Amino acid sequence: MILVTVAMQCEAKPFIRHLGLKKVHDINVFPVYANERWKLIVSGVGKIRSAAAATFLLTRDLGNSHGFVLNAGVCGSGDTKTPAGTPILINKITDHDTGRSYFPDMVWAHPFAEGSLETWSRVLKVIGSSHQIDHLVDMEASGFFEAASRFLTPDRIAVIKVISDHFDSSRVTAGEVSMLIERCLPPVAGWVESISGSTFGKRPVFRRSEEQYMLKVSNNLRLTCTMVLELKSLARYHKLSGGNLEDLLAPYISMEPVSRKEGKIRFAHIRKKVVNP
Amino acid sequence: MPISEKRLLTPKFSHIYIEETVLEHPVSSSIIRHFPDSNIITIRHYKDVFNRRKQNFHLQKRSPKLILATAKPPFLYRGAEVCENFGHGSFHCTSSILNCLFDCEYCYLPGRYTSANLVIFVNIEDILSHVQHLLRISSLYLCVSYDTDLLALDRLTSFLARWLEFAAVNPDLLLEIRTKSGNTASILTRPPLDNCILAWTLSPDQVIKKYEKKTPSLDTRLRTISKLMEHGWKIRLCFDPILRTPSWKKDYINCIHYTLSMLPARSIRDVSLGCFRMGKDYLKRARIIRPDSDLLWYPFKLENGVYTYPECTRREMLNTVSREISRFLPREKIYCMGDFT
Repeated sequence: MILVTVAMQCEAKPFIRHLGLKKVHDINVFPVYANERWKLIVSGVGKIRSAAAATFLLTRDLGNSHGFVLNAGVCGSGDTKTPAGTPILINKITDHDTGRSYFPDMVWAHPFAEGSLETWSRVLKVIGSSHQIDHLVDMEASGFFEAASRFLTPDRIAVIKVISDHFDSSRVTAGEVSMLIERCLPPVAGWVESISGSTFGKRPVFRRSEEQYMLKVSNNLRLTCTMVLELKSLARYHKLSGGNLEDLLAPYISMEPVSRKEGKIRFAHIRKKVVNP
Repeated sequence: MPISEKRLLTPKFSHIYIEETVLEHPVSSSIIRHFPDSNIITIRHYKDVFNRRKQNFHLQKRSPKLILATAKPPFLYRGAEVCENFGHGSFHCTSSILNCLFDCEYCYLPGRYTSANLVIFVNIEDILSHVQHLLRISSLYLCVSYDTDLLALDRLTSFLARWLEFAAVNPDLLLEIRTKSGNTASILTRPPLDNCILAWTLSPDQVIKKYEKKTPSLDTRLRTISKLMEHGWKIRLCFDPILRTPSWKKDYINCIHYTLSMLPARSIRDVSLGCFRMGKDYLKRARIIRPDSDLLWYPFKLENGVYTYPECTRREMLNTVSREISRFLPREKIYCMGDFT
């Protein structure tokens, strides 16, 4: 599942249109839109709302270690050389209030420009102030990242911001925000799709049937929790070193449950067979 | 790694994280010059990146990043119980680099660090001056290549040259540099040193192919050793860790015969032997990172906080290997971790 958090409805609209997302009516804490593969939440403006929304989604969808979460939206930029409408993949997020920095893992190849972002708790007005900002500024990313990194590894978390303005006096309308995001969406969605499903050859060692086999044997031998863990560990080694798990456990699968004492003796036989095949 | 998967990843060292305080350090500048296309990201402290929680070691190993940082005292730590001290009382280690370019399945580093990214402490001069200070008090046996492979990274750091220069003028220092690398450039430019031990870890090719990914072959290692021996260096050979693979006996015997018939005995300083062993907590973490490793999931025995093969298995392995080596070398040149011979 790919999870997306955005702050405003006008940032959500292009995703809803492009991905064909439908409103999830049984959730009324936040507006949530989804299809089979994507789920988008509209958090509201600010880092605490963003953290709450990310936590809400990730708690509901936890258990899928291949999940991917993206914070998308618009940001201001102090670098006037990069035009409005440019999508930037964020490699460093600094919380302006705490000074703490967060680092998404930059392991995935991508077609975007990169930049560092500072998250402020209020709207930044640079004109006429003493602030010299040469990087990107938003109001959500630090809260989002702090929350998301509780659930996922930093390679499964990304922040992509589209530059909407350069802290000048012109006001960006909701329609313009939607348009800026709409233009960047095909490459952003394509990139996230391509990396989110990657497992890099990591497949579970046991098949479901083998898991059930081990469970049955554990019950039949009345193994303690510690012994169940040891059985799984022995079974893993046995399988990885080329042994057949079903052959190893076959004598204990269709038997009647035995006493704990008898179970211990039989478990010792299994251990011996694995260590000294 | 399949090509399609490789395409998904950024190249090695595509990003260099650098502490603000070492931006201008000459070692930082020199390293950065090697990577003109890399993104430079300034950081306050290396642990902000290196010690993040829940990192994907497996993926980082395929696309490692570089972190340039300042080492802070204590620069040295006592050699671990699981490491051979070769009879030296003052056995210490120091790490100017954390993590390694190689990907050995039996390595303790995935258990020790939460990240596979490489940290280079650029202020090597501070480590050297601390060692100099300690040498005024007593002699020192110092291993500088335990948490990394210093030789493999020497094109980048030139730290090896610094250590060799330092050892040349500090005879009370006995330096050990352990490696699997085929890179000898900075060693061959200077005369051999009696107080610097170059130590090569050797394994049968079957073990290298399966468990020592990204490392040079046995032949490359032996050619490198031969070259250094011709140059006058006496080399330490380390058959450590010895692994109990299905064909371990045949593989190790063949490897020992091949190695010791190729290298002149007079140029072998000594041989170090040890079976696989890993601290309890390190193995626990290493197993999580490699759930599909038959090597790490072996039903080891826990002895004094260290997982290793059962005593009778260890005895059999060490006796077999040391017996073979003693056909070529005198017994007093063989150091055996666990001492079963």
